[in-house]
Amino acid sequence: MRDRADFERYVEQRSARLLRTAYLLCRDWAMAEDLTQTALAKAWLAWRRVGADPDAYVYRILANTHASWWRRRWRGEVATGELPDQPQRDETAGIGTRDALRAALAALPPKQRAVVVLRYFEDLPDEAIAGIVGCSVATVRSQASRALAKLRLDPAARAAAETGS
Amino acid sequence: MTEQRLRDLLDHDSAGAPPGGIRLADVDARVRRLRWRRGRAAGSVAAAALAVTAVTVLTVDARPVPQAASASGDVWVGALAEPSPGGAQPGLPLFHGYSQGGRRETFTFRAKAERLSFALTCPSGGYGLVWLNGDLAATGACGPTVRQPPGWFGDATARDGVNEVSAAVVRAADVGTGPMTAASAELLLARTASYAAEWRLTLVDARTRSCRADVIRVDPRSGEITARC
Repeated sequence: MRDRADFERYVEQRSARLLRTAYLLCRDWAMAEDLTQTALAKAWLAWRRVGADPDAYVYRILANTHASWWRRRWRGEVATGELPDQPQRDETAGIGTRDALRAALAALPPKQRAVVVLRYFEDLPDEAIAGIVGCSVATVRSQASRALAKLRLDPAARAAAETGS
Repeated sequence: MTEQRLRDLLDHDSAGAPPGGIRLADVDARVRRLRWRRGRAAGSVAAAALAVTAVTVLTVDARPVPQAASASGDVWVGALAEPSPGGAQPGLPLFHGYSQGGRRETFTFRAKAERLSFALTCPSGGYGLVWLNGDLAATGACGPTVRQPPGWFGDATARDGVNEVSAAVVRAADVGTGPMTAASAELLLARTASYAAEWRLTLVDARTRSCRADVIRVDPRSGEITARC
């Protein structure tokens, strides 16, 4: 039977890594903290059912919660008629091209971004990712392929690739 | 853009977490809020069901009385494998994350007699040891591997029923030059004090290794991309 001490140990050992994963999903540290706290809170409410491997459950909650927040935020967006402040262009070419790749990553839909983050940041196999995002292994692979194709084909990402940084 | 560049970017971008991190007290506050919301939702559902019941009983006596619906739990309940009463996790794939090197970590899972692949993601300068049902099943230095899944470490055959996997990461510098045997692995682990190290063990069906994830089909007319498998 998993108990409170197990949960506290899990939070202590894994929360920093989960926060980084959440940040890569949403690209905002405040929202990443919200996401991580929500995921851990939901995990605690189901802690006895979670088993010896809480990561699978917590990643699943992170991905699902981020997708639902993203949809809600998307519907709630209102055109202001003014462009938001543009980020400052970095001085060095390397950083500038990284920015281009970041922009291309940020443009991916949430499910593709989740697949990219779980595959290339968490190094999870496609089978595990399929369990987390709730689809087949073939779908994970096609989503990853589409995401990589977009990163390569997106003009910004292509510029990043062509300058070789 | 290479995949390694993408990995580096993700690693670099997520490295600047604000100080403080996630506090347990904040998680507990979130738990209280979730419980309150769920309690309120359950109350609403019960009240609605009660109202439907009352109307039905008043208007059509012969109809069966509707049952009060239970409040839904987490959306993912049942979607993933739950632990069996014996504590063993059913089914593959399994992945476990740990944050201590020099310490043996053990878990059990249910399987048929099937070939398993172990994948170990661990810091460079590390050396992994994996046991399956007490036998040393895979060993090697941490680092990228060519074979799938990423960090592939070795294969072994599980037995029908409950299987036990143990794994540990030690410092590669402490590993001698001779062949790694079960006895030398035990000795090495016994001599190593635990230290902070993030590592992850993944178990997948070995058949998935024959399916290359990086091979795709592109429809020349529509441009649609589909995975090979």
